[in-house]
This record gives sequence, structure tokens and C-alpha cells, in this order.
Amino acid sequence: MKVLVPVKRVIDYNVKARVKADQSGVDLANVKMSMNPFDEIAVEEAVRLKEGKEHHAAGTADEIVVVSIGPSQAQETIRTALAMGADRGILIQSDTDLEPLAVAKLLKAVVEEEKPDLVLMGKQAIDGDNNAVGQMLAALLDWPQGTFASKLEIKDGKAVVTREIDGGLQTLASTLPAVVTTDLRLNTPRYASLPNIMKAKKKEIAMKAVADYGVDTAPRLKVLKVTEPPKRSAGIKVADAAELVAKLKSEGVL
Amino acid sequence: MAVLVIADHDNAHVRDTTHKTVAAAAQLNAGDIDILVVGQGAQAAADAAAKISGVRKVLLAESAELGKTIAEAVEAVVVPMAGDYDAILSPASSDGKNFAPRIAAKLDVAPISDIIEVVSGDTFTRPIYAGNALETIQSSDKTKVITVRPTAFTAAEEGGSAKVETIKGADAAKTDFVGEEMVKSDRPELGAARIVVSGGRALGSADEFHAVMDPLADKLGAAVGASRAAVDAATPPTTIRWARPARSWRRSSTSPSASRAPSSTWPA
Repeated sequence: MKVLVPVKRVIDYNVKARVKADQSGVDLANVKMSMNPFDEIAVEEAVRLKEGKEHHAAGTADEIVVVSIGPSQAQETIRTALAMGADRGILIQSDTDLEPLAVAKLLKAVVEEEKPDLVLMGKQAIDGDNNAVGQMLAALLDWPQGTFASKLEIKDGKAVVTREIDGGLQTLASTLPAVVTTDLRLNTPRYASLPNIMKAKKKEIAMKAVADYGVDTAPRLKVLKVTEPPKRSAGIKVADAAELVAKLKSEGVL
Repeated sequence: MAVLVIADHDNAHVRDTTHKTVAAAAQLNAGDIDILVVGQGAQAAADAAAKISGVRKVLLAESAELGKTIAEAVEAVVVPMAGDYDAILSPASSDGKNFAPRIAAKLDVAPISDIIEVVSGDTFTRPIYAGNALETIQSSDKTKVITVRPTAFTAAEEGGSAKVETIKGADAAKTDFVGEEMVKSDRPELGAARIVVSGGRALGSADEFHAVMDPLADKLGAAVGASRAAVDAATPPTTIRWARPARSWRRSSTSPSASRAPSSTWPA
């Protein structure tokens, strides 16, 4: 089985995003960038499918292709995935941050070329927080989708996905090929070992341009402004429970 | 033209999140508001939805797959009727987030996720970077597919008497429902609760967590929340954590920071 894992280079999750003074966006100059944490979980699960770790049969996956759409520095993000155990990479270079619809269309073109049996990807990127590309890719391909996965099993040509939904867990079985998006509890990604980091340097990354795929990536949304959320004011200390209840009542919370 | 609101319900009742999404729909000033109820054995939910004031009609589509809100089936019901609407709204519940982008892709439009404010009929505000910034965006698409963060809107009142029309259901050929494990709770849903009492790791153990938090929550009619650190320490069950980005919660438009966990608790 061939697995395609789309990954995105985003602001590191430990870095606090700061809004630019001119309200044009978030300041990403000289900020540490890393692989989107949900995508890291997707890469880890794909590697486990290949290694036969946890409940997966050995060799469930035989090839893992990683694709990223972004600036040339996104090669580092792809290298991270290759060091974790993916086999080869594709970078579709784009200096503008594309909208989910454009990303889904590009990924559809990649899927048509690569013909994977499974697309495994993060449920959302921690920059735009759209939570959309996986579902949109599945729709464009007319594939089934298993979103917000906290457990994945491949059996009898199906992806059996346990999903984190409001109030509990739901398990669906989708006929492959399918798109599965990962939630935080699916696994804990590994740290790449030094030998694997060295090996990853020799793995192939195909360089492509958005124009190579001939899809319409024109934006549909115009960002009018990006602002800081209202500041949270400092809290107060109360002496005892009675005062707390009185305060909550006077503030209209209760 | 009109707005379609896809209801959040449990077949017997309509959740409050639906009322809040209707309130957001009313702010679009697009005219009529219809509600779509997809489910199985959901007549009661459709009847309840018809009582929300300002609603023109309620459409009810039923099948086994729709009863489990499988995205492919919801898409198959919504896409053919999308031409009748300027906007399709659903609450940003796990179901809404699951099917809305799928519908948007089929319509070749950009989905607009998790809005907290309607600025005008085509302009919306939504949190990005886990609530550390708010983005105001304008859509140029003919049909807008939007998910609404329910806690940012005040629920539409009851008092309407719309008619309920049954329409054809749909199935999902490539996805089978296997099972579900729902946590039974008489408390409000965390994502839509007006009051949340939240505990952290300091409570020490699951027993202590429930001993302290449950009576307090019941007394206040509140939902129980927990930090991701507490959940990861297996203190309370995973379904009640509120830390980003699995579940977010927002009391009102004045305190978006309430939806953020201390960064040290995520992803831990």
C-alpha cells in the first residue's frame, strides 16, 4: 500500500503568534518554523504502517511519499518527515500561503499522479486553523473520509478509523482509497535518530511549481485585517467560597 | 435568496447550537432561513426545529448513514439543493467541521471555518493561530459555506411555527458505520455550555477530580472541563478536555482567551 502524507511548514507550536502592527497578518519574520504537529502525527502513523508497529501488520504500507506546498524552506519540513522514515518527497513551491481549496486541488493533482491507497494528513494546520483540506481533498476525489482519527487500522481493504467526536468516539470503516485526518491522540511522534537524519539527506525531493499542475489557485477570500484578540484582564483573589459565590452572582455569571 | 442552516440534534431534540447558528444566519440579512435536519427517526427534532422563530421551513432527510452524520451522505443531500441558497451554515461541532468543507469543495467555494462574528453578508471574523489572532475575511464566492462557533452567538428565540417537509435521504456507499462509544452525561455539552468549571492536574487523580468537580458542576448547571495536561495525565475522561485545539470554548465575544490553554499544556 502506498501512503501520501501532505505536510505543512508552520510557526512552531511553542512560539506565540504576534500580530503585525499594520494588521496585515501575523509576523513570521525570524520566527521558528516547524512541521505542523498534526502532520507529524500523520507521518508517524504512516511510518508505523510501514514498520508494522503497534497493531499494524508489518508492511501494511510499502511506500510513503511526503508532499508539501510552500516556500523553498519547506524542504526542511520534508527532510524532517524523511528522517522519521518517509521514502521520498515532493515540494510544490509557492511563496504565497494558498487557501484550503487551492491546496486541495493541488493535492488532488498529486494524488492522480502518485495513485496512493491512503492519504494520511493532519486534521488542521495550527496557523489558519481551517480544518478543511482533508475533507475537501476527499470530496474532490470522491473518496470517503475518516476525520479526527484517534485510532487507525487497515484491514480487508478498508481504513477503520476511530474518530474523536463531540461527546465520545465513533468508528467508521471506509473502503480504500480514502483520506484520513489525524487527531492528537493517534500517536506520539518519534524523534528522528542521527543516522536517520543523515540518511534522509540522500532521499529524493522532487521540486515542482504550482503552475506544473494547471489548477486554479486564485484566492476566494480577501483578508481585510488581522487583529489581536481583546486582552484578558487580570483576575482577583477572594477570601472564601461565600465571597466567590457573591462575586459570581454580581458579575452575572450565575 | 436564502440561508440554509444544518441542524445539530440528537434525533429527539435540537441542540441549542442550532438556535445560535440560526441567530448567526439572521445576521447575514439574506432573507429566508431554512433548517435542514439530517438524521434517522428525527421527526421530533425536525418538529422542534420548526419552533425556532424566524425559520421559513424545515427540511427533513433520513437514512441510516444520515443518522450517524456520515459526511459523504450529508454532502449528497446538501449539494443538490445548494443552488437555492446564498449561504449554508452549520455549528462548528465535530459533525459540522466534518461535512462543511466537503460540501464547500463540491461547490467549488472556500469554506469559512468557525466564525465568531458576522460583519456583513460576505465578511466574517474568525480566530486563527489558536485564538492568538482574529482574522476578518471577505468572501467572493456565490455560495458561502460557513461553520459557526456557537458560544459566540446568542440563541434565536423559540416561538415559530414553520412547516416540515420531508426530502429524500442519501447513503454513503464507501463508508460503513462500525460503532460508537458515547459518554453519557446530563450536563450541558462542553462546546455549547454557558458555564464551564474547569480543573487541572492539581486535582491529582480521576477520583479526586470527579469528587470535586462533579458536584460543583451540577450545582451550577455547568459543563465540566479539564486542561489537556489533566486529560493526558488520565485524570478525567478525554471527552471533557477544553484545551486547544481539540475542543474550544468561548463564553462571549469579550473573552476569546478563554478558549486557550496555557501553551505548556499543549501538545505536552
